[in-house]
Amino acid sequence: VAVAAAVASAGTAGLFPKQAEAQSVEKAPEAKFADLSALLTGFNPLVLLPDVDPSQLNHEIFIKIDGDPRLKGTLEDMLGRFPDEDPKTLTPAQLQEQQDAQRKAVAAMVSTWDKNDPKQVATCFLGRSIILAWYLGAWYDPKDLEKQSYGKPDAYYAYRRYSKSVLIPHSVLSPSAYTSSLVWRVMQAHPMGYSNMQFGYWEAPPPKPNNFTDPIKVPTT
Amino acid sequence: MTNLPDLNYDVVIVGSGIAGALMALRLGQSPNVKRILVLEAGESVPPNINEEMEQFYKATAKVPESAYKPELLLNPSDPKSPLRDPATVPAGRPTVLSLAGAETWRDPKQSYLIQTGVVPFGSTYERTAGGTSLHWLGTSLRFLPNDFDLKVSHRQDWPKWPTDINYQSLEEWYCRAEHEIGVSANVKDQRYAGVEFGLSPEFKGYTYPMPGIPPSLTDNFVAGAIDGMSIEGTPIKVRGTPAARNSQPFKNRRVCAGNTNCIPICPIQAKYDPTITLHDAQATGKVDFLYRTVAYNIALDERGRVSHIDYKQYNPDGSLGLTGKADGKVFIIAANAIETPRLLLMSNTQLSKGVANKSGQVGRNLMDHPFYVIWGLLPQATYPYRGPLSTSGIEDLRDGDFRKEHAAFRVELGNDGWNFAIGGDPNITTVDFVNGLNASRLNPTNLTVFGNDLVQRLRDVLTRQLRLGFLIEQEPDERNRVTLSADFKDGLGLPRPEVYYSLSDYTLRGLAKAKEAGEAIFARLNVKEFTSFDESDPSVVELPPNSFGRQEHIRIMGAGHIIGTHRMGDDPSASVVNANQRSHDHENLYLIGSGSFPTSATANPTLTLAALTLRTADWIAKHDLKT
Repeated sequence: VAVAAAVASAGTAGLFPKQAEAQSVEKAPEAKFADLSALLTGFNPLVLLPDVDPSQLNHEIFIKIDGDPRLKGTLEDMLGRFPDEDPKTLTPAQLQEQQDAQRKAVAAMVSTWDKNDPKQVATCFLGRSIILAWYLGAWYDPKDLEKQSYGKPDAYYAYRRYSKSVLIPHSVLSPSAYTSSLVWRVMQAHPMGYSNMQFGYWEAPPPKPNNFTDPIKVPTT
Repeated sequence: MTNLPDLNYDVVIVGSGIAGALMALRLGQSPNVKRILVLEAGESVPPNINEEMEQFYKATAKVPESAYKPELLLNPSDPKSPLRDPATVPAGRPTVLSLAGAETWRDPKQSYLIQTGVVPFGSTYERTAGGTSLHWLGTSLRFLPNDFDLKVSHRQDWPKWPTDINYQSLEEWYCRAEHEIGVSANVKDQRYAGVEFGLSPEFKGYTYPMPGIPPSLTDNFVAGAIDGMSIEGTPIKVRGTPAARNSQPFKNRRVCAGNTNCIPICPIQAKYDPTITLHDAQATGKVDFLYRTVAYNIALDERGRVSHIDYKQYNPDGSLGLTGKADGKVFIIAANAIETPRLLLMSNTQLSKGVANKSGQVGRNLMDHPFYVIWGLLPQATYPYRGPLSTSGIEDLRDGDFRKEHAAFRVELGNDGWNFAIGGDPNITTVDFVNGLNASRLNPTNLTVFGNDLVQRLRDVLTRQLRLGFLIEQEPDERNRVTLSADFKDGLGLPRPEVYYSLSDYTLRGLAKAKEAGEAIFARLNVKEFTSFDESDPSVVELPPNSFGRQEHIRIMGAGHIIGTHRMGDDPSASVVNANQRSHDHENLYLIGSGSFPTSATANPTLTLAALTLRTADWIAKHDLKT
């Protein structure tokens, strides 16, 4: 309960400009995690962690990592690279600058890895695990992703369907993580086996992409 | 009910899949029948669907079997868990997961079927209440008139359907089957290749119970590009597929909401599955069920009639339970075209060749529709992963003079992107772009992307994915066969089915034509093809030279259509059952299901087996059980 309350209050400040008034309180770790996840996934943090969050996917991924002694320190390090700054105190130019810097910082984390720098390797593959957890609702352990990154044999092709020797081991976090996962939104669809749409919708083009990826707009008074 | 009350049943049915369920329902509705017993090898229908949905959502490999009991993996929560050893499972079943690559299909610790053939038999089945049609697609095509008349279709040396079974005689039963299970289609779209509707007075002016399912954006795009093009001189067009999927509320079930999940499981039961019929059968008040009850011997009396069926039960934890025998007047085996011959062959204490096997044909002529799948990227987004898994097909190549030369086929258009084709997209493509891999072959430069780039890149490829599937008529071949394994047993100590499977030249020539047709269709659509396979895959077959003299390899899959093994015919020396699916050898024994088909044709078999079941039920009620 305490965590949820902290998240709810902290959800109003962060790396992205938000509608509600900013408060200069230290953000709860889960809110910081949502901000980091937003940079990694390309989704607005209000989609990942809305004020009322029935999916709890942000919480689920966070505790998966925070509860794992192998990964907790790496995550804390990653979160520490993005200090809280109230975007309301920034000029538009400064804001742009901040966002560019953040993007570069994330790219440095997950786009490449340096075999000689174990800390960087740990950061890189944890970052990728976080992206996959959001997109697929499934947990790919950083170690397993790392193993698959070195020297990919030709046999590593998906057309050997379901072969244990070529699939990266993973597990679905939970039924709700699967039905809340993001990749379906990217393609303007719905999780297979979980549609809230109506008969015949498939005959018409889907709503525009931003209907799937942007937060629901709430009028401000 | 865990034990059998000492009742004398009129009818004992082995198996509660679509054939057993329809049989139980129709006999339960007959005033001539008082008590029916159904023996089901697997679990009962769950109290609600949520447990199965959760199992499906949690499954890492969402294969057809993934929603059903028993669990496939030894430890479902361990991503590196092996499959359960079939020797430890009381009522085992094949799974797509044991067909994954060269390492598993012949490993008896992973594959329930003991496979000895040239290529793997790629179709799987369920052993649980409702049977394999729990995870069927819902496709409800009728056979074509020429499918029954081999003379016209130039395959004179093939096994013949019984004189009494032809399109004309079966048409009224198709109508009844379509209304029982609830098929959505428009008659005007389905008149082709000689198919007519309402031939009997009862069904004059016939309409399907529900109008057709709307086509998908992919269907319409493909139709716009290819309608009117010719393949081997035959004009083709995209046509809506009749489906047992509600386009209107039907029999207290909801309308399809396009969950894109007909296989493995429709979360709202808008797709027909046999549990619906099982409920109706139970509601007649005449049907008892025994679950976790495996029939293992069909016992005969001195006159050669079946006297009873011996069964073994097991407990929810898998331990051995009671054994017993089920008495009755009429016995119906509806256990699918692998488990039915297995039971007949296991029943060898009184007849060494097994029950119903004077002809020696039991277990022979195992067929499937070898399924050739191709995939690629369309030039524009048509938004797959929306709507039912398939809503349209190309049916024009199911019949023609070419059947002299090569197998006919139908083409299924997928709405599932590459999900089925590569075994689990969108996951595979997503992992590729996040982790710099190229399992999908969509990331040949091993990019790693994140943030908005990832959104854009995935959207670009995932919304353009297309796959087509070609279902080939398989020539019956008596070498393709189900026998009993001498070496490997299941968890109840019963011999497991051994399967030999291969493809004839005629079938392979059909596959070669399908490949050519696929190339022509993709070229017309301006699709960039990504179809590929690994040469070490056991399901790779070498094709005969095509029109250009090229000899190519392709990979086939199973269509889930298990056909043959107790075929019907007029000649008792060359067939197992007659036109009523009654054993030629034992007058109170019926073998029902697609195992009775002498030939596979190109239509998905469920509707035809349902029609034959209703016809047989009518015959049994009127003749065997009249009061």
